[in-house]
Amino acid sequence: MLKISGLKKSFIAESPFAVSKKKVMAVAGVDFEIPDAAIVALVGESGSGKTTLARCVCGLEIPDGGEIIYNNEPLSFDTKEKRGRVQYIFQDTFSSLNPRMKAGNAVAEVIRFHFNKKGKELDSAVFSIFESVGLDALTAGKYPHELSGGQRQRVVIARALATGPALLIADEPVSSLDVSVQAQVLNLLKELNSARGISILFITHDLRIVRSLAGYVVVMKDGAIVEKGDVETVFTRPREAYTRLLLDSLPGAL
Amino acid sequence: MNKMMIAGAICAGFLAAAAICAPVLTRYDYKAQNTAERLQPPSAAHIFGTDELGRDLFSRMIYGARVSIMVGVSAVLISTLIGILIGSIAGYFGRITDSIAMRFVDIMLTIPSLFLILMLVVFLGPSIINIMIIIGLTSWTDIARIIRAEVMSIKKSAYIDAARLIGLGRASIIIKHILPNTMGPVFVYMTFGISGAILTESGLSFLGLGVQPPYPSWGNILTAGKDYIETAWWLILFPGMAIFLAVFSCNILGEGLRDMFNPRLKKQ
Amino acid sequence: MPAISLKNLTVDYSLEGGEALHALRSINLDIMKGESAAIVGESGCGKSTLAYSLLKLGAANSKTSGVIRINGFDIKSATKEELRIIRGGAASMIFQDPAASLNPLFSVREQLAEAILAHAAPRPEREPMEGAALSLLKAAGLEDTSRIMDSYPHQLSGGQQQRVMIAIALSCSPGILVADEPTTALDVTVQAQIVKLLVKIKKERGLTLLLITHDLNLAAELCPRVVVMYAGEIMEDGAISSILDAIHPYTRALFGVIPGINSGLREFKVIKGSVPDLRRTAPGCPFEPRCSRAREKCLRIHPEIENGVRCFFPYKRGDSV
Repeated sequence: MLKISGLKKSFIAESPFAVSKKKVMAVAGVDFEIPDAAIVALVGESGSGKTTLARCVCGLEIPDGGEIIYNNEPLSFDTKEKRGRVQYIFQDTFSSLNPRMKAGNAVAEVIRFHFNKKGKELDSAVFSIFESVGLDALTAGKYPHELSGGQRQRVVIARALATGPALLIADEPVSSLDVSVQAQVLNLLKELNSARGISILFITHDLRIVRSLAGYVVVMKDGAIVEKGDVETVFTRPREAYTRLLLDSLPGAL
Repeated sequence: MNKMMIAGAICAGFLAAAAICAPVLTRYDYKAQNTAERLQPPSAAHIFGTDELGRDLFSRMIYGARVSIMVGVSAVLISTLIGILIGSIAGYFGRITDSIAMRFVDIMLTIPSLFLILMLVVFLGPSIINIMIIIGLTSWTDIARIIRAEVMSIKKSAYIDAARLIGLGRASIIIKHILPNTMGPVFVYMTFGISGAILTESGLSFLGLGVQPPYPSWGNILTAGKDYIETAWWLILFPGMAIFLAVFSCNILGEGLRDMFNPRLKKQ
Repeated sequence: MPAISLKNLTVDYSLEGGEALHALRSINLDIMKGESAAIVGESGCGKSTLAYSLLKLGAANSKTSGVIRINGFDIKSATKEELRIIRGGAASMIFQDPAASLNPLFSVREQLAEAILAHAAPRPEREPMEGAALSLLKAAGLEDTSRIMDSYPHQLSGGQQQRVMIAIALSCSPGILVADEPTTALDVTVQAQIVKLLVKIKKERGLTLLLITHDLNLAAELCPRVVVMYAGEIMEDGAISSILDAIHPYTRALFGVIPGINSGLREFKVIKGSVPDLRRTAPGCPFEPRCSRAREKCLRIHPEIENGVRCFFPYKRGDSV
C-alpha cells in the first residue's frame, strides 16, 4: 500500500547557547513498505528519526529527498479525499486536543469539513464514531481536561477515524498512559486493524508491546534502518547487534 | 476569583452603571449654566457643588463618566483588533513576514506615543471620535507582541498539527484554533488598556485637546478646576478621585485576571 | 532503628472550593538500613507524594500529619538548618527528568561543587574538591570525566545527565538514596544501564535504596521488597519477584496487564474501570469496583493491612488461581 524509498529529511538544529547552527540529518535514506491492512511497528530510541519519518509520511513535514508511493501514485494531500487517507495519533494526550473544544465538536469539525454533514446527520455520525472507540455519548459533551488520559486518547483516535483513513500513524500513543489503561487503547487499535482493515504504523520504544501487536517491525537508529522484517523472525533471530541490545535491555531480560 | 479582582470589578462596574444611568441619577442638565450659583461648595441641592459657570458638578461628572468609558472601551477594541491581526500573522507565518511586522512595531515604538497622539489630534481636530481612533491606532504594539508570542507557542501544539491533518486552511486554523486559546492574555491586556486609555483621554482633555466644552469630561473639568484650586477644592477633588478610581479598579481587575490565567503549579 | 519510618502518614492537598485531595491515607512503612525496596503504583497512587514527604519537599497547599523519621530523626518538626543537613547528608533524592533537575546555566563542575560545599565544613581546597568531583562522576559510570566537568547540561545526553544527577546525589555520602522514577524519561537501552548502576552503587556503599516506579517488572526484578500502592494506600508489602508471589488482586492484575516479551499476538489484558477519585471518602476497599474477587464485605468495610496485604480475600502465595 505504501512504499517509501530513499527518504531523506534534515533540520537546522538551533541550540539556545550555541553560536553556530548545525545541520542534523534526521532521516538519512530510508526504504520500507507498509502492506495493506497490516500493523507495522517502527521502533527506535530518541534521535532515531522515527517521529520525523512519520511526520513525512503524513504530510506534516516535506522530505528533502526520496519518494513515498501510495497505491502506485506519489503521495499527495491536495484534495480533501487524499488528505483523509492518512491520519495521525499523537503521543501527548493533553496537547493533541484543543482545550477549548468539547470532545464531540473536535470530531464533528472533521466530519463537517470532509463530508459536509449538518444537524442531526452530523450528530449521529459523531456518536457512531464515539461508540466505535468505546466512548459513550456523554463524553462528547466534555472538555479535554475533564477526561482521563485513556479517554482523551480515544477521542484522538475517534477524530483520526472521522475521515475514514486507510493508514493510521500512531506515535507512541500509550506511552503517557498507565499500564492498566494502555491495554484498552492497544486492543482498540488491533480491532480497527482486524475488523476494518486499517493499516497502522505504530511508533514505539517499548518492544514488549510490539510482539503482541504488530506483524512487522522496523528498527531505526540515527536516521537509518538497522533491521526490518516480520516480528517473529526479528525477535527470535535478530541479525543486528543493536536489535539484540534493545531486546536485552528489557526488564524481563535483565 | 480573588478578593482584589472582585473589588476591582465591583468598583469598575459601579462607575459603568453610573454612566449608563446618567439621566436617571440627576435632574440637572449638565449644560445648564446658572451664574447666580457659581462655585458653590457641595450642598444638599448640588451634592458635588457647582463649577465656574454654575453648572451642577455631579451631573457633569456622571456624563463625563460616559466619555471615559466610551473612549476607554472603543480605543482598546481598536488597538486589540489591530494587535490581533498583526500579531497573529507575524506569529503564524514567521520568518520574513514576522521580520517585516516586527520592524513595523519597532518603528511605532521609536516614536514617542504622546507626541504622536498630540500631533494627530492637532492635525485631525479634537473630538471624541477622533480621540478614540487616535488612541486605538497608537497603542496596539503591546498586544501585538503578546499575541505573536502566544501564537508562536500554540502553533507548536499537537492539536494544531491535527488541524493541519484535517486539511484546514491557514486562516481557519488561526481563527478557529489558535486565537480562542490566546484569549486569556487578551482580556488582561484589555483591562489594562482601558485604564491607560482613560488616563490618556483625561490628559488630552485637560490640555484642551480632547473633549471640547460644553460636553464634560473628567479631564476638562480639571482644566477649569486648576484655576480655582484654593477656592473651589471640589472642582479638583471629584474629577481627580474619579479618574483615580477608574484607573485603579481597572488595574486591580486586570491583575486579578492575570493571576487567574497564569498556568498554576501542577499538583504532584 | 529503621532508616525510614512512616507512621500514619496522611497527606491532603487542599483544592479550590474547600475540597481536599487525599493523596496519602495513613501510610505505615518501615525500611531498615541496607534494604532495597521498591514502591510501585500507577498515576495518582501517591508514590511520588510519599517520596517527596520524606525530605519535606511537599507542595505549598499540602497538609501532612503522622510521623516521618529518617534514621530516627523526626522530619516534620525539623528546623530549616536540620533539614539542610539531612537533605543530601542523610538521604538524597534522584528525580525523574534529569534535564529539568539540572540548572541549565551552570556547568557540571559548578553544580557538583555546589553540592559538595553544601555539606563540607570547613570549606575544602580547590584541588581535593576537583578530585572528589571527578571520582564521583567515575562512580556514576561516566568516562571522559574532565570533558563532562566543563560541559553544560544541554550538551549531555539523557543518560549522562542522569548520571550527573546520581553523582550529585552521592556527593555527601548519604546513607539513603530515594530514586523517583529515575529511568522513565530515558531511552530503553540507557534505562538498563542506569538501573544496573543503581544496584551496583547500592551494593558498594551499603546504601538503603528506595526505588519509586510504575514499572512492576523492574521493581520485581531489582528489589527484594516491593510495596504496591493504590489510591493513596499500601495494598501489599512483601517479597514479590513474580506474579505467583503476589497475593493482592491488584498486584496480580497489574502483573497480568504487562505485555510479555515472550507472548505472541494476542489480546492485551485489561483491568476494567479506572482509578478512583482521590477526593472520595466512601467506605470499603478502594479497589473494589475493579476487583474480580470482590464481595459484599469489600463494599462496606475498609480492609486493614494484615500479613502484608490489605485485602479480605487475597490469593494464596504460589497459587495460580
